[in-house]
Amino acid sequence: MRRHLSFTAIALSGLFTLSACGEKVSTQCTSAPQSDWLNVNDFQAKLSNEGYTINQFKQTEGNCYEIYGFEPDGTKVEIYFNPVDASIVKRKAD
Amino acid sequence: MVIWDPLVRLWHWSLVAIVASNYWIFEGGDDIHIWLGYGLFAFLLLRVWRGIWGSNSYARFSDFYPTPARIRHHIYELRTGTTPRASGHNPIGALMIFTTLLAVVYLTVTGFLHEEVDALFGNSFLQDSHKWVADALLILAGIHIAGVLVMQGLTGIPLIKTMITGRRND
Repeated sequence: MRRHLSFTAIALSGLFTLSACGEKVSTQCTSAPQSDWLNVNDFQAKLSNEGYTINQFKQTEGNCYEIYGFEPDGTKVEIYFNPVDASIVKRKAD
Repeated sequence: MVIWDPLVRLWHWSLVAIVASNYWIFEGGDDIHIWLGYGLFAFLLLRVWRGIWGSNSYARFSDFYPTPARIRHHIYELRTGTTPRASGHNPIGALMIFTTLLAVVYLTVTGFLHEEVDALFGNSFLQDSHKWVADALLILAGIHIAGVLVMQGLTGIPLIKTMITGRRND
């Protein structure tokens, strides 16, 4: 009985621990290889030219180019771009 | 007898539901992730208020604050099989509770600063540490569930049922 119990307990805590190792929800943008992605500097320069202010640029676990910053009209946004064609995959604004 | 009043149970299960939702369903930065986080913090404030000034002794922090003497007594009761059925939180579980409360405060503060202070929007330290603490919270939950199952088996006290109904048969 006790052995059965500790097995269950250890299995459960192990399961949770595994799930804690990076299975968070995250936006996915592409499955294309990195060689097909836009150049990081060109991509950011293009956005800046369009009037975006970039606080922070990131390459995400879900294969996105992500920016935190402001749109040309001043709206605060977080945007996930497809790194292959720079299309917007997800946009979070206030 | 009543062990856990409705507010303690509301806090416990909202913690479970909101942490699970914000971890597996709603991505950081989503409006709903943010509002669920602030909502959970509101429940936490209620819980802390009950923990300090509440009338229910099982819910008061002073009833289960861990001390070396309490831990020794808890282990003694386990070894001799004399844990009273009217027990509330044990002192080891209490360590987990206070760590969890701190983790939720940390998640709220980092999330708030990241989203509401323009200069910190996208800040890597806030993001990374928010994620690490969220991971730690899930690991704590795993240890907590294991602890509940083991303690329920050792003492024969229906702990899970008590956290659902609030009541325990004498």
